[in-house]
Amino acid sequence: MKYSAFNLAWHGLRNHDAWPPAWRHASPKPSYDAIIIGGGGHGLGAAFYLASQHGINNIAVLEKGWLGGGNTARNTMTIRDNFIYPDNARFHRAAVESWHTLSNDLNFNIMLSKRGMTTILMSDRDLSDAKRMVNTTSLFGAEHRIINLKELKKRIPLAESPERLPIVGGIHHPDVLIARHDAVAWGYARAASKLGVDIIENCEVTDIFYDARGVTGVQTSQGKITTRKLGMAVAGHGKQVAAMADIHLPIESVPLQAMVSTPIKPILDNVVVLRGLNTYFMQSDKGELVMGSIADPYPSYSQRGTPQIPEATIAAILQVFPTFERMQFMRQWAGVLDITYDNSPIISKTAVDGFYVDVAGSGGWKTTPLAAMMHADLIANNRPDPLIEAYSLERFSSGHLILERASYGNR
Amino acid sequence: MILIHCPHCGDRNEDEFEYGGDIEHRRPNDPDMMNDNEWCEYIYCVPNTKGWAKEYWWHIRGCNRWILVERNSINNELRKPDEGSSRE
Repeated sequence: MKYSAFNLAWHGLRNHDAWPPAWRHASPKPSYDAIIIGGGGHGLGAAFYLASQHGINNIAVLEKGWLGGGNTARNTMTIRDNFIYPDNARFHRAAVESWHTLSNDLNFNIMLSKRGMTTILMSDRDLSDAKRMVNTTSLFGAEHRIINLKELKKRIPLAESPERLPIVGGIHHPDVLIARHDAVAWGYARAASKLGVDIIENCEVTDIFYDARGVTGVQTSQGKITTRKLGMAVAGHGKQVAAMADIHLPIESVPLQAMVSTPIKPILDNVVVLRGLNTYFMQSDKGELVMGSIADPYPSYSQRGTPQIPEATIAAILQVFPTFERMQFMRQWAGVLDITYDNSPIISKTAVDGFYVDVAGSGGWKTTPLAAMMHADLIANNRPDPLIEAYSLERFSSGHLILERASYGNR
Repeated sequence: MILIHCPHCGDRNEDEFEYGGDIEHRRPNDPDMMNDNEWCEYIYCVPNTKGWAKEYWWHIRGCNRWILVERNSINNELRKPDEGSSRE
């Protein structure tokens, strides 16, 4: 059923008790043309684009838990493109663009909001770094601008310059978006299900079968399923799943934490980044301050993270925003990031024919639609689009790393 | 905050330490004899164990010695490693 003002009114008259489920709960068939492992934004998106752009409809998405219950639910919703290396800059620029039509494409409101981002610079080093970043990203079409103290004060009136680290200026980045993360998973699931994709929850992949000609199928907790094309869009456990096909992925699993305060009235439109203090925060549509920082200092699969990170995050924010001193915290959590040595994603073929991976986005939320589209294109055509050629697995042995500073987890 | 047992200093907060990697991640004996793929495997494909693993930690803000710690990466639980306790 199409979501529209008319249907909303019609169901309103009927007490909203006749809405059909947004997607079908399917049981696995014995065979599919393509299988996607991972029912988050990237996996459901890949299934949606395979069905909508490549005419492959006999697809299953296998999810171990529930839809969008992994890092799709754990990110901080911010979509940005302040990347400086050419391959990354091009990809992330296109990724930001790819969000704009998503609500229409899916007929599902992902609550996209063009908030903009203001980076607060607190040392001359920050400032010269910022100039380099602004100049570099402008070559790829990102709209960054260095702003002076006066404009910064106007945009972020709550910021107070601390004595020890006085504010020297800022960067304004109007293109930065936020979107409702759960809605992205649900929207893709609903749209994919409509196109015939089987979405199978509580279905853990326990083994991957392949022979000399390539992938032949998977063993799951709901039985064996055969396929010749297998895409993996797993976060946090990419290494373990790929190892089932004897592919060793060059990734390490590190928690990245986030936390939210209790909701307050609207006080902040921009996403605020305290560059020298490695901290960022913004106010969600619900009114909570959502804040985050750098990845944990050691690898772990614990979805809690180490307390020194929240402590440093709060200390950093209070230095510049002492007005938040009495705010209360509601939740803190961590998502397990698959981090590559160069903090850049792997969207690539593997040594096993028909097995493709889209992993290690190092905060892959912001690229969801484009990465999913590229992953689907790779699965359908068995060759990478020029936009993702640089994200191949071979870059590690050939030495063509993309050592990106703008990613999370960079040390 | 996890409490790490340093055999020289006793139980200390984790922020006194730096993580030094899984002990299974060993430098190959003869790097010159390796091809690019094998070298790539050593450099980038760290063990990333889910569950119990033995690791080196560096007590950098303490006695400055390398120690051996056994940690469960699922919940960060620690237990005493059963073999030698310092890195040579």
